[in-house]
Amino acid sequence: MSIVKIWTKPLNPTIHSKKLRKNIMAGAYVSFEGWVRQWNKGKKVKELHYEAYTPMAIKEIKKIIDKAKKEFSVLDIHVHHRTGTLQLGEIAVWMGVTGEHRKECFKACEYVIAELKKQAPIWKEERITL
Amino acid sequence: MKVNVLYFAHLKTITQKKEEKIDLPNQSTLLELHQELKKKYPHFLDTPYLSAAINEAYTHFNTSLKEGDTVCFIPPVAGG
Repeated sequence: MSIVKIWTKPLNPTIHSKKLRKNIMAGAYVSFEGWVRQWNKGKKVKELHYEAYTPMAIKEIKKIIDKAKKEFSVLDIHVHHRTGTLQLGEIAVWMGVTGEHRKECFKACEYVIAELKKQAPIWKEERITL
Repeated sequence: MKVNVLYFAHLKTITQKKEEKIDLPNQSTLLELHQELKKKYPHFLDTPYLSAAINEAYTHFNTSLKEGDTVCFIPPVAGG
C-alpha cells in the first residue's frame, strides 16, 4: 500500500522508513531525501517556500507510483513532501522504495523523483540573501 | 454557469487571490476561461506557460467546463 503525504511540519525519515520496513518479501530498500541547499546557480539561498495544490499533488504522485511499480516491479513506494517555509538543510522531500533487488529500487526511485518534479503541482519559491 | 478557479504560485501573486468564482456562458472551454482571466488580469500568464486541471486532473485547454467545476491553471511546477 503506497503512502503519499504532504506535510506542513518537518519530515521524519526514521518514522517514514519504519513503515516501509515491514515487508518480508523485500530484499532491498532505497531512499532519497531532497534538502534545501545554500547555493543555487550562484545565488545564496536564505530559505525556500513550498506550496502545493495538495489533493491534486497526492493524486498525481500516486499515479507516478503506480506506473513505477508496474514498470520496475518494485514492492512499495512511499513519498512525503513538505510545504511551507524551509530553512537551509531541511528535508523538502523524502521517498523510499522497497523491492526484491536493489537495481529495480534505484531505477524506481530515480523515476519517481524525476516525474514528481515534472508533474506534481508543487511550487518552490527561492528566497535569496541580498 | 459558475466555475471555481484556484490560484497558486505566480498566479496567486498576480490575482492577489487564492480562489474565485467566475461566471461563464454554458459549455465554455478552458481556453475561453483563460481569455476571460487574461482580460481581468492583464499579467495573467499565457497558455504556453501553463498547464490546466479540472477537478484535480490535468486536461487540455479545449476541454468544456461544467457548472461547479474546480479549475486550476498550473504555472511551471518545481517540487522536490
